[in-house]
Formats: sequence, structure tokens, C-alpha cells
Amino acid sequence: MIIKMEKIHIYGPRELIDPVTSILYKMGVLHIEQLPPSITAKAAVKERLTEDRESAREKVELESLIDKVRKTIILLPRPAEPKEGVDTWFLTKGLDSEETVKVVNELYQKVDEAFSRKKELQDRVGILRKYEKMIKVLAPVVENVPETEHLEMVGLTIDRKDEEVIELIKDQISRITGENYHIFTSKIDSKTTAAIIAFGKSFAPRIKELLWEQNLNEIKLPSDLENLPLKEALEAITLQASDLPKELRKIEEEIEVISKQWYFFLSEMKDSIQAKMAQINASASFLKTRYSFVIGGWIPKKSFPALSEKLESDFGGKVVLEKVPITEEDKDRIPIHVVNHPLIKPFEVFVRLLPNPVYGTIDPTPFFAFFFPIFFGLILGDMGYGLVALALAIFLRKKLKRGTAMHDISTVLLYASFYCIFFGFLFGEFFGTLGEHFPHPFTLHPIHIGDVKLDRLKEIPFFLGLAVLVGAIHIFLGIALGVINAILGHHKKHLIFKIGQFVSLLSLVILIAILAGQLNRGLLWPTAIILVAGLVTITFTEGFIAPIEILSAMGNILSYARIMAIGLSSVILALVANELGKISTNLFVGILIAGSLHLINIIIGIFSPTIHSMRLHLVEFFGKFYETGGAEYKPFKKHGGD
Amino acid sequence: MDLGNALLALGAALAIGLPALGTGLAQSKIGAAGAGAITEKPEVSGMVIILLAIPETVVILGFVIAAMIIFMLK
Repeated sequence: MIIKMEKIHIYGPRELIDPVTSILYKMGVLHIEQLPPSITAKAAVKERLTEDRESAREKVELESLIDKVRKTIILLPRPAEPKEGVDTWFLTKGLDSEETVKVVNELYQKVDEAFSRKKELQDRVGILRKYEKMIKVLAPVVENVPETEHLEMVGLTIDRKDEEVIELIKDQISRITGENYHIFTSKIDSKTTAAIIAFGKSFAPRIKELLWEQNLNEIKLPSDLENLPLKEALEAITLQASDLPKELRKIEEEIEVISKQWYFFLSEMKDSIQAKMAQINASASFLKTRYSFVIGGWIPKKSFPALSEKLESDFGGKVVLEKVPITEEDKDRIPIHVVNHPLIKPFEVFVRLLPNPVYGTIDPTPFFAFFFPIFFGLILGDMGYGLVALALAIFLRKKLKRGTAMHDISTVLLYASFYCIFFGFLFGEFFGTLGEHFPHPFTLHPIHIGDVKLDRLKEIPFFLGLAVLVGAIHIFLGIALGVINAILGHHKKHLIFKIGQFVSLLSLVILIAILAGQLNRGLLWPTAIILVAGLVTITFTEGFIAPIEILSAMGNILSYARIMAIGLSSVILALVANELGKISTNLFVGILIAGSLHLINIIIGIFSPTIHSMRLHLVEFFGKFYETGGAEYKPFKKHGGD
Repeated sequence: MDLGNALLALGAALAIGLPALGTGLAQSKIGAAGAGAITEKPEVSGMVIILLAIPETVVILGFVIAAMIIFMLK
């Protein structure tokens, strides 16, 4: 339902503006509204409270502070145990006090440095890990090479498919050095071979040129080690590889200690800064004089006593809460606050697809909640599909986060699946006609109501009539709600039109029934006269286009035939699935074929009734009474998310 | 089946077939525009699905006419 709102003004002395704003933020019920210029004009002494220099400076400082607090929190891991009783000394000292800013800056710097160091070490460990295999292979070889200042060593990595190049370079190095060299090769892995060539230092330029010409990859060492001789470089890498993880663990422990000590403190501080910033932003909408302030807005009627009591108890009459009469001009600005019973609330997700209703009209959510699952059940109407939909809804409700749109949709699916099972029982359907083959007493057959057997395949005219009847009830209910809305809104002309529309449509339906021989022909002329009277009335109120509305409403009623039509297609597809399954001589193949087709039918069967039931409501039903244009209720409070 | 019934059956087929073509054409345009709208504003997805279902009324009305014709078959 749409909650009744009160227009209020809060008056008080200027020095109390901060504590009052803080209370309003905590209570989270006031929809703040900029007081209209007329008030400013009437009270010449008042001036609009814009962000003065002081609050602008404070805002900039707080923005910079919250930026650092956020960055620090993101870097810190959340401690497993929440810390009780955080010391919020920053509230007494002031969020923008020197001490607070100093603590945040120091913490930010400390955490940032620790993370930069950690990142550096992680990168280093990553690089060294690449050399790990190579070192394992080459270290014993390098160990055996005698260490002299005249000896040069070059490491190579060669693709194993190009190994023949080793023989080629052996010949050439032999020529260059006069056979005064050593070459050691060893496999690193399935793709790479490593080679170490040791030779006299004087031959180095020519040999390196040769390697470059042959396009051979000299082992690339980390940049800080590349000037070291290969042997020393490999030793340095081995040493670092064993030391770095220890250093990394030490930094991680250091970060954990900081987190345990400061995480919840910073989190508390972030909330306080956000609250303060929201209050500064909100204060731009207040009016103030040198000595007083006025806050204007809307609150739910039932929250008025609580707010009044709180202001009275905290400020003892210094701050006054006043109800202000709602004028005609206010009507478009009244915020729409919709509150429904928890069972109905999930359906709001569908109603919210349309803009807000106008204040003072009927909230359509309860009607949506009543009819939507019935339509869904009537369309799908199969116990087997209903059970699958039920299982899916239960699974999704467990997996999805409460309060999200998808969670609400899965709750709606849960309700709809009950109706689907119920109608499936009436229609005797379990995965199509499978229920007929169940052993006694579980055999499923369509239920008889009077002379009619509720078999959707055979009783097509009956179900078509039923769907149109449901449509007629729904559309007439919609027009009746339109009548109530017109009464609530005191729109006399619209009220006459709505009554005229109801009467005209009803007489048109009766007239069709008479002409079809379903009702006594004696009623023909009286009904025709009523129809003409109704048409004349609506033409006078809404112009010559109005009678077309009646034809359109007839179209709307016939549109409900989709309940039967889509249901019928679902039944036939289920039947086809079972029949195709029967064709196969192999039991498993048969089950596979039937199962696949049923799966497709279930997917279509859940999607299609949802779309069509939704559309019947939002287009056909709501079109008869739903007026859009209400403002959104945005209470001044902490919002979710960050 | 006599010629009268055959013509009735043909009429029923046309009554649902032609609106189905029309609906298909309308939905192709709505679908393309809707996909573009969703790219710009994902929050309009629900409304686009509803808009996409609107032309289906024509087929449903065609179906009702076709069903009425079929009931006339002897």
C-alpha cells in the first residue's frame, strides 16, 4: 500500500542544526525537500542555506580523508573476528581535526608502503621461480667449472627441436678457440635444453657475435644480476629464492597486525565521514538565518510521533516539529513510499517496472500478487513442470542474496509453482499425459466439473471461454479500481468517465451474449439503450475518442485468450515429447528424447507464462486505473553499498 | 471434406498465419530497438520484454478468430 505522508517543517536555533541533522540521518525517515522560494520570500529574514565557505572547506577535507580511509581499508584483509567496542575518539576530536588526519595519513602511508614492498617481493619471487628449473640443471655443471679470471661462461637456452644447432656451433667455436673450450648441455624440460659454454675471455666478443648470428638465446638474468658472472649470478638467485618467501611472510604478518588493530576503527571512521558528508550535502536544502534554521520535507504519517518525541526529548522544546497543510501544488511532489506485507513484497519487483503511482491512488501490488500466480498456474498447469519450477525456486532462493531482485523473482516463482501444481492436478497433467500411466491409485486424470472434463486438449472451447471470462473479471476489476482512484483523487469528470466506461463495457458484453443466444433476447433493447447512454456519457466527458476506449477494452478482454492459447501449446509440446520418446525401441534413448523435449518445454514454460502474465497485468489491467507520476521517496539515511 | 469446410480451414489458417507474420515483423523492430536501449540503459530490460510481448496480442486475437472458425467446421 502507498503510505500516507505528512509534510513537515522543523524549526530550531542555528547552533542545533548539526545535532538535529544527525538525528534525522539516524532515524532515516525524512525525505528532505528544498523549501520553495515562496517561504523564503515570506520570511524575509531567512536565506537559503547554501554550502558556505566553512562547509565547503570541510567537505573537501572530508572527501580527501574518506579517499585515504577507503584505499587503506581495501588494502587491509578483513580480520576474522569483529572487534567489539571500537574507540571512536575521532568523533569527539572532530573528523577533520589535525589528530584524526594525522592518524589516517600515517596509517595510509604505512599500509601503502607495506603493500608496495609486498608487491615488489611477489614480483621478484615470480621472476626467480622462472629460473628455478634452470638453476637445478645448471648449478652442478657450473660448480664443476674451475673459477679463473681468464675464463668466460655463457649460458644458452635452445629449443629441443633445434638441437642440431649445438653441433654446428661446436665446430665454429672450435675453430675460433682452437679447440680450447668446453660445452655442457642438459635438458631443462620436454621443450628446452640448456647449454653452458666455457672459453677463454679473449674469445668472448667473437663467440658472442657467433651466437647472435645463429639467433641463439643467451640466458637472460634479472637486470640487477646481469653484470655478474654466470656462476655468481646463479648463486645469488638461489640465495634470494630461499630468503624472499621468508621476507614476504614477515610483511604479510605485519599487514595482519595492522589490520587487526585498525580495520574496524577505519571502517567506523568511514561510516562517520559518510554520514557527515551526507549531512553537509543535505544542509544545502535547509533555510537558515543568523540565529535559526528551517528544515522542510516529508515523513510517513506513522513516523511523525516518534520524530516529534525524539526532538522533544533531546532538545526540550528548543526544536519544533510542525505539520504543514498539503496544498494542491504539493500533490505532484509528495513522495511515494510503498510498504507491503512480506508475502506480497516480492511482487513489487514487477510493479516497479512502471513509474511510481500518483499519491493517494491504490497500490496495485496486492492485486498483482493475487492474480499473477493464478495466471501462471493456469497457463503452465502441469504437476511435473510445477514440481521442477518449485525445486528451481527453492534452489535460487537459497543461492541468491535476500533483498535482491532475482531473489524476489524466485519467491514469486515459488508461489506460482504451487498454483501450477494445483492446476496441473485439476487438468490431470504430469509431464503431459504421463500421469495417466501411473499405477492405481496414483493415476492422474482431468477432473470433472459438472459435464465438463478439464482436459485442455479436448475442451478447447471451454478453456477459451474460461480465459476470456478471467479476462473480463480482471478488466472489470481494473475499471472498478479506476472508479475508486477517481473518488480518492476527487476527479469528478474522470469518475463519470470511469463509471460510463464500466457500464458501456458491461452492456456491450451482455449484448454480445444476447446476440450469441446465451441470454434472453428480451434484454436486447434495454441493454442497447444502456450502452448508448454509457457511450454518450463518456463522449461528453472525454471527447469523441472515448468510445474507441470501449472497443479497446473489448480487445483487452479477448487478449486474455493467451492464457488458454499458450497453455495449449505447452500441453501439445509435452504430448509430442512423450510420443517421440515412445517411438524409440531403446528405453534410455526414449527417456533421453522425451527428457530433452520436456526440458525445452519447461524453460519455455517458465519464461513464457511469466512474460504474458506480467504483460496482462502491466498493459491490460493497470491501463484501466494506474496513474503514474509520483515522486520517489528518498529518505535521508545511510544507503547500502560502500 | 467439402469445399465449404476446406475454405473455412483455409480461413482459420490465414486468420492466425497473417497476424503471426505481422507480429514477427513488429517484434523484429522492437527487438532491435530494445537491444539498443538495453545497451544504453540496462535497467529498462524488464520494460523492453513487456514491449516485445505487446504485438503478440494480434496473434492471440487471430488465434481466437481461427478457433471460432474451426468450431464452425462440420
